[in-house]
Amino acid sequence: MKLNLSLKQAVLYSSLAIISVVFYIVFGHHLSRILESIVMGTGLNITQSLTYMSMFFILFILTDKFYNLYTRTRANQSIEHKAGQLFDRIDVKTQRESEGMINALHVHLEEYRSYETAFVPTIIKTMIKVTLIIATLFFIDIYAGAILLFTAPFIPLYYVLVGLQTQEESVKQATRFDNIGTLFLNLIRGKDTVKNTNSKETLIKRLESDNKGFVKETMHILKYAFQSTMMLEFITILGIGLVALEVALRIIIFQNISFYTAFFVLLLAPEFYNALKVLGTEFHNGKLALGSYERAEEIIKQPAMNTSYRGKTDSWAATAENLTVGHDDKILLKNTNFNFSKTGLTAITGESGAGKTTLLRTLLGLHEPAAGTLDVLTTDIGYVSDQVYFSDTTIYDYVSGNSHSEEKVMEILHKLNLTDSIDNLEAGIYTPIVNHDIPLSGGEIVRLKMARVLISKPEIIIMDEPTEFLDAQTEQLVMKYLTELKETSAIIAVIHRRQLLSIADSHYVLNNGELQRGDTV
Amino acid sequence: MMYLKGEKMHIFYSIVLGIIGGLVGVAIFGLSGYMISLSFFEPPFFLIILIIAMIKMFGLTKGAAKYMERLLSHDATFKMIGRLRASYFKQSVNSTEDTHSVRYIQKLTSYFDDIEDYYIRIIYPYVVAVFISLILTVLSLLIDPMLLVILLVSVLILLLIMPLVISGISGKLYDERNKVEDSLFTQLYHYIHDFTNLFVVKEDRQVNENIKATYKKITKNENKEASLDAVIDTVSLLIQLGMILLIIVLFSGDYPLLIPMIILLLMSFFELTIPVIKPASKYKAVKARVEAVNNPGGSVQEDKHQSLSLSNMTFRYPSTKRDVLNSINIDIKPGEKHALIGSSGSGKTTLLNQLIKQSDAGIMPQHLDFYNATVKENITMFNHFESEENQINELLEQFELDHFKADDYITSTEYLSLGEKKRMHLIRMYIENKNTWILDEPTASLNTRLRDKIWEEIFQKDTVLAATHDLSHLDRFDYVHYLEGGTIIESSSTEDALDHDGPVREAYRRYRDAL
Repeated sequence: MKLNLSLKQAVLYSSLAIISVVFYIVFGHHLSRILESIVMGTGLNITQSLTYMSMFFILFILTDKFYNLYTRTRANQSIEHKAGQLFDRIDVKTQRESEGMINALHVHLEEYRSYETAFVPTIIKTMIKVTLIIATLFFIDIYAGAILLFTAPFIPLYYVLVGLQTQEESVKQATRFDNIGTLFLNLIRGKDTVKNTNSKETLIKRLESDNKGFVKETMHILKYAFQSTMMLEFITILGIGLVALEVALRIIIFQNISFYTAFFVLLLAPEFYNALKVLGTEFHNGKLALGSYERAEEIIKQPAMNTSYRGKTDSWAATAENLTVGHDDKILLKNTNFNFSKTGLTAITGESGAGKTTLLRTLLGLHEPAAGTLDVLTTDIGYVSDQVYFSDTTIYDYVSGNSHSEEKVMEILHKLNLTDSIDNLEAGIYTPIVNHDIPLSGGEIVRLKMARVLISKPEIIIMDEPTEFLDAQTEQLVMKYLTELKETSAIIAVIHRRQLLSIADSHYVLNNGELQRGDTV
Repeated sequence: MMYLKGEKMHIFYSIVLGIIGGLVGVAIFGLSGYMISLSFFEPPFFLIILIIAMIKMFGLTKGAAKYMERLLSHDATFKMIGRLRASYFKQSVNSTEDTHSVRYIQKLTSYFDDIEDYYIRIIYPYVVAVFISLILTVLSLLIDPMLLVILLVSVLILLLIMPLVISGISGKLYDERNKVEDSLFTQLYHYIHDFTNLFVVKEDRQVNENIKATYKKITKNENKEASLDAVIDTVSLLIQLGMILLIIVLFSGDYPLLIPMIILLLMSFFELTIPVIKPASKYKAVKARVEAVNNPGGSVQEDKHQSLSLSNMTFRYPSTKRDVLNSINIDIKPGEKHALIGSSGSGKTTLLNQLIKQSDAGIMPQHLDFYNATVKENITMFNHFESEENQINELLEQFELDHFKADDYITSTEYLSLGEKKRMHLIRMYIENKNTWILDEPTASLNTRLRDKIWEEIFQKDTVLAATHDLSHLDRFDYVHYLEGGTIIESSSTEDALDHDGPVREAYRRYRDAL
């Protein structure tokens, strides 16, 4: 399993771990000597030894906790970096898979966090611990060291044999539990349909039976997993028991071992086996956490969207040469040339699904063409989209974009005949828009979106179905304003209604991958 | 403890087993310490063998106890969560809360994580640790009352004082974390959904930076947790050192033989209790949250009428200050087909929702729900309606959805376009087979051919109420209502409305003008 750690860091972690384990072993040494003196009366300077013991124990605590703190802080930094990579993957397409992105950040990356904060540091520390303890024991009691060395491989071996077998299935079960959880969440989200179709009882039964089946199967798998932990416990106790027996035999029968050695061995042996056990169980958790990261990584590894494909032109609002635009293998625009004038209204029409909105997105820098070149007059383009989305804001902030005065905002609202309806609101232009809850009608919202774009009179304005939802009177008003505006700006608009075509200066029809000149009215 | 109902026994047993396992684990250390001391004083050899045999027996017992404890506690947890979900679902079906927002669902997820934490990582280990500590404390009386005092003081500090003292800090960290995650979620959600606009006005980089800045707060919070852990561990280990010193100083004269045992006992006791301190300190904060989310919104019991009518109805949402509907009068008699038109935002959906509440009709709501399940399960509401796979496949073909088969697995969010959802839901309604249908924009996002197919299906029904922008089949409705700003400004037979100047005729003319 990869550690996701640089060599430099691995060396640093190891050195820190070595220091702290050595302190613990020296502490054990002093404790054993003190106890020997108490039990056997070896006449040690107790006060001095107690001071040493305390000192090394404190040093152990400090280095060990520093190790934990340091590795965790580094890991959190690395997680932050990975979150940053996720954020950088957000583009115009993310909206369709927004839940995938949100889950990657809030669920999968969080599940993975423990891999870097706990798993990796624990593995390194444990390896060091195991090695140093065995080395120490070889110095003070070669037989105990041999027993440890002999029994130790059983633990990893056992894990490899049993663990690998259950691991795959337990990962599968974990996914399944997730799925049942997701169905539950789905049902909560879709409760209105459940209510409308009177299917509540059926679905409760379904949830219950799903969970029952899941519990039965999972417990079956878990039994194996827990059995393997129990076997580990047994191997551990067998090892500790063997060491104890060895120590006892040497004390009583051979009488060739000091109290100091005996106690020291019995202090370190359990530490050793516990470390191995931790290695075994952590391995399992590590594998699961790594699996979570793989799901976030899928998003991170997606190629970044190119948004700087547009060139610069001074003669046209937009000009294209041999432009081909498509989605995957579906071609919407093939080898097309066009020149959109710097002023006037360019109307684009076509069947729904022909690719009109995609063409607008290409102009906006949000959809990289498959081939050809596209030059624009400026990248400061105003865009009135056919979709409404309001981040939490106020009407004033929304329209001004934080760069226009109140007077300017009022002026544009007045031009679009919005003053009355907004004055009627509780807080006027400072009325908050929260949770997408806008106290305006559909036609008013369309005009609000326009106000935001038109306030700064950009050189290019792109509009997607600008007059939908407007009543005849308001439509006239908007058209009058657009007529005035197109004297100085280029307006490129996808339109659905003949009315607006009457003020168009040029008209294109998008049909079967071709952009043809259409009639102007 | 109200959640313990069905799993009570399991939990009780796993606590007992946890205590046995823990005690035996501590005993193993104590015994081995005792054994060494004893060995040097030429005890009968069988005594040493007996002790070693006991250590092994204890080891086996500990392993077995742990095994059973884990089985029982996991079994109990899974069952508990399953049951909680079912009962939460039961309650939420009748609640008025809007559950469509991702934020709500996210909160619910972390709520269930919290419940799991609450029982498995907070309450259960703490209860086990307290029992083990108390038993050990009482047993220490066998050696010396002074030892009892020492142990009791350690227990009080570790399991009572420290959790209480840290409670404030860790509660704050916990709340802080929830707050940052909420704000991160909101920012991220806006960023994703408002991306096009942000990109066009060249603010996307700035917002990206803001989100990263918010994420820094999460890192900071995690680091604070790490520091807190380090402090807790350091303090408790220092206490442990103090206790070891105290025992050596106090008892080395009186019970030199027992000292190794007591020290090993003490060390394994600390090993058992230290990990409990931090979770225990979170008890209050987590409990507050678990209880806060426990009840999903207020629930409303509605009477279902057969008639579809509203008289003089005025409606406003609880959080707003404006009436969304104003003195609405509408009466749809069996056998009649009504169209509801008007610009978006005029209150059509709200009006429909009022009628949906009191009717037993087949419904196509504005927001269409699909579930992570097969197409067939989605259409039959998990076999609530009866239908054969063949019939479903035929219907899928009829509505040009034959790229799906009845047994395909779909997920609620990713696979279906709006147009596909409309058609899939229509098949659902077709199989449900009610005489009356209420539909909100049944033909949005569809091409002309599919629109025609859908309208054909709709006009097969006896009684219909449809809110729509698509006026292509307006003349086939018996009545039409024009809604503007929450008020019905025109309401008459379709024939009359199209004959006379008025908002309906104006809308119809404008619709015809479309390209």
